Amino acid sequence: VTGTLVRTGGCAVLAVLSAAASCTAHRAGKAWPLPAPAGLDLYMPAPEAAAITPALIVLGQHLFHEQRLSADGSMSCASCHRPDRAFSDTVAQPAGVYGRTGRNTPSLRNVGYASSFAWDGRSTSIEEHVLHAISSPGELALPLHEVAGRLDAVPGYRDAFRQAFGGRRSRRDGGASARGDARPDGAPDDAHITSDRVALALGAYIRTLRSGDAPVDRFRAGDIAALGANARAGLALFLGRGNCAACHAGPLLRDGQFRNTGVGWGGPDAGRALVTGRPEDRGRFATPSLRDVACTSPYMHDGSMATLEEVIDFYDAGGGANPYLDGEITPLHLQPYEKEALLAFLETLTGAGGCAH
Amino acid sequence: MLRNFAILLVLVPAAVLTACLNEAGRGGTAAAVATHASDIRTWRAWSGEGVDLSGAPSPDGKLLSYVDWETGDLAVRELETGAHRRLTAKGTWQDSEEYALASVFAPDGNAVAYSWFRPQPDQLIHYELRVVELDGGEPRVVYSNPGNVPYLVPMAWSPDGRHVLTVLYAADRTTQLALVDVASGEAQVLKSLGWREPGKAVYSPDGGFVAYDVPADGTNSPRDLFVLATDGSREMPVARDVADDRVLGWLTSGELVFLSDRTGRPGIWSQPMRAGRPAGAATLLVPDAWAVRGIGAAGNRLMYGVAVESPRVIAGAIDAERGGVLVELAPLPHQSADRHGPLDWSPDGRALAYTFRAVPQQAALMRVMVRGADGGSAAREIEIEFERVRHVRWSPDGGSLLLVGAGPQGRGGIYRLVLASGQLERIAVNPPGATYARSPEWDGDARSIRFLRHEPPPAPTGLVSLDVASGEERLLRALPPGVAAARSPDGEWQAVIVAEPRDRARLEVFPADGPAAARTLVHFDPDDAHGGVNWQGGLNWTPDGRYLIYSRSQLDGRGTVWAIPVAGGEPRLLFEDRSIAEVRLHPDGRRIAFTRERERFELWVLER
Repeated sequence: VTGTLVRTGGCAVLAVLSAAASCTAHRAGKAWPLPAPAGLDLYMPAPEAAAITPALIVLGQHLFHEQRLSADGSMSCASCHRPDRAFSDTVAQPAGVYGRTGRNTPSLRNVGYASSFAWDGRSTSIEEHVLHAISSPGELALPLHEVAGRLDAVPGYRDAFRQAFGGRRSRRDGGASARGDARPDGAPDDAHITSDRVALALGAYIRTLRSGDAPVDRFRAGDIAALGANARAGLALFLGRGNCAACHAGPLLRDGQFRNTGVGWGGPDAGRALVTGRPEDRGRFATPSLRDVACTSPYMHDGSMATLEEVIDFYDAGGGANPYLDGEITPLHLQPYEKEALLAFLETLTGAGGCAH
Repeated sequence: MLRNFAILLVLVPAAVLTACLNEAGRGGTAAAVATHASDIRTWRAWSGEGVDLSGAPSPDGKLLSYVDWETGDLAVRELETGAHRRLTAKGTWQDSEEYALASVFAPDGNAVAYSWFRPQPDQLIHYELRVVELDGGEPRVVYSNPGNVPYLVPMAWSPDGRHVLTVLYAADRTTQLALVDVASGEAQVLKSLGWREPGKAVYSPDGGFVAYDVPADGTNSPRDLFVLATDGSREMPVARDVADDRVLGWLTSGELVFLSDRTGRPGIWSQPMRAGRPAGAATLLVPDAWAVRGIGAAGNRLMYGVAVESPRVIAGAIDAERGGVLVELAPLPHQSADRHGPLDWSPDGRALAYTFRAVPQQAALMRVMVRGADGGSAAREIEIEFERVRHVRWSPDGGSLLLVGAGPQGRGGIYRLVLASGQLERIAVNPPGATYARSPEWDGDARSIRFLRHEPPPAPTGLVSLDVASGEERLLRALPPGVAAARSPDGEWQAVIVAEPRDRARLEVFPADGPAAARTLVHFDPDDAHGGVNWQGGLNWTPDGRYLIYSRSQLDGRGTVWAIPVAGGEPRLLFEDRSIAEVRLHPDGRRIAFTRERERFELWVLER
């Protein structure tokens, strides 16, 4: 199911989806774990509540483009997490249905490896965060109790849910049926649509959004020629004097931490402090992965920097001064050729599929 | 050019290192037997000198792979008879600085996979994964990735023989649990662990799962225990609590055996497992299992090491002028199983600071102990997030300590610990591929630090000065790779011990701030009666500037400490000891302290 197909209309697409999902191979096929592109871990965390199958992934992919999941039917997840932009957006702070998030859209690629979600880490699972995005007034703004009814009204969805959840019962299931068609034992039947099942399907699909096999992965695997001389010099800076790897480390070039870089300091967004309530967490935001970073402009949690050159200049100058500035950030005094080398290295982080796949 | 222990100390995790620093020699077998629960029997399988626990048991439990530190070769020992033989033949240390480290047996018992230190022209630190057959033949390199993976540790060989479960240490200091294909050498990363360092990882008997332990949080906290499917499909925490939990082995009966201090005292526990999940409650097999480290399982036998001697701070007093000691050397009073690290006297001579790790929480944060110089009661203990510390140096004002080693996130560099607040500040990070700064000391103005830097070419090696405020580094004098350095009390002279080819070295003196030629005081040759230079021994001036104190060591760990007149003359023997690490002279020029790094283990077997 492609974005083009999805935009052609719900019923027709669901017919296609149903047909695909009812294919025996898809229904019975083993999807998990997914093969890992070069450079990525084989293990990716996933809920045990619903086994990830091709049918669940297909349903999730469709729901990802489903505009009925927004209050006014105008937006879907894909409106901001654009597949042609490595599942990020081109605008600094996209508008939701009833306003703005005030934050830049992070890429969803490889997000399945994370243990916290959103710039402030407010969610601890993809499924939790999906429900937050659907219901948040600044995003899709659809009350969760309306989710099942919206989808249930569309022919094909019940079949798709039956294919995706057939023979299983989610631990998270158990809510009242939109049509009162619970099984005699009180459990929802296989075709039952709930917001939790929507989240499980979306989570399954999002976990398939992986990006690897980038030039840097081939280099790390021992293919020295995968990086040019300038990019290799950039890597040395990245690991050494540039101190980038103090935060952007591991296969995803992120550390799972929340850091205060000074971006947006003094503005309305308190960052991690919104979750913890601790003053020292004000201005801290999640370290983003740098994979596909050349595809995901603009940058920073508020989208305030349009180019990677601006980002490099920002860190070269020592970040944004404030009382809680992360201790890893100090002036670097990079030479112009060193900045070019860093940029060349960052451009080698784009996965084999490019920005759009 | 760098001796083996020098390299070991810059990168190798402490858990591995402890085993490697055991002294060479020949131990016997022992027959001590102890009983615990009614169905548990334990006995000592190897004790005495030369016990090395860097390897693993063969599947039938009859052999143990280990490193013969006389040459650095991989070897196997028959546990029943004590007979042993080398599987590699690298020659002497003068012939080659390469050596074996961690090793695991193939499931058929006919081959051993092992890590092998093999520096590259542009990589000071480089280990590769090799395999050698027990019946002879040339070792085969299975995995080598210079620059990207400077260090690796084989943990276990898969029951189907296809993979070696290996911990890869990436250039950004993060670690990965990887399955290295024995035939193709391809590495599939199973799980990345960030800056956390796995302690031990083992396969389930059916090969479907691996159990491993990692610090629960950060790089240096109590460990939790997890079981991960080898197809990457799922992971399950087995022990996730405030206790320190460490994998010991997975028996063919299905029991996962681990070390835990969950009762407040360390014990060996058994967790029944089924399909990669706990099946019932864990039971205590052996209580009060102090200073235990995992070796592995052979069938339903668990093999583990017990430390019978741990690194200790030793103090006494010397007579530099006449030679000999004024006060006999003796260990500082401390809990016996605690492991002591580097030390330094305070500038006013009233206190001694040293690092240590306490038991029973072996993975607990490293601490700095500050106590009276007379060895009296502890004044203060400060926890530090360090994996390993190479040097401790007190600041001239007595308010802080310089710590050189692997700090938070395993990042090698120079740090400052402010004693009043306990705050740890990073001063400098090692450049990629560089070894730790050696022999750091504050310049007189307390604004800059001078130390020996060793980086891969084309970076110059030598004595450098680091301006702490600006971070600017200046090469004071290009030198061969350095062993130790010390500036004279009047600041006029600089003494250094530098390496020479074939494991030799020399002690020389030159003006501290000038290009004048150096004057050599001593040459060190490993073939001398007292051995070569002690790479960890350090270098001190006496307060009057008349003598330099240095150390020599022999392959079997015996060491000597000497005083040589700077003006010329024969060196005086001060004392002999074993496994001497960085000697520090008290400001009074008489009292002296060092860490005796000798750590001896016994190999024990547990059977139900």
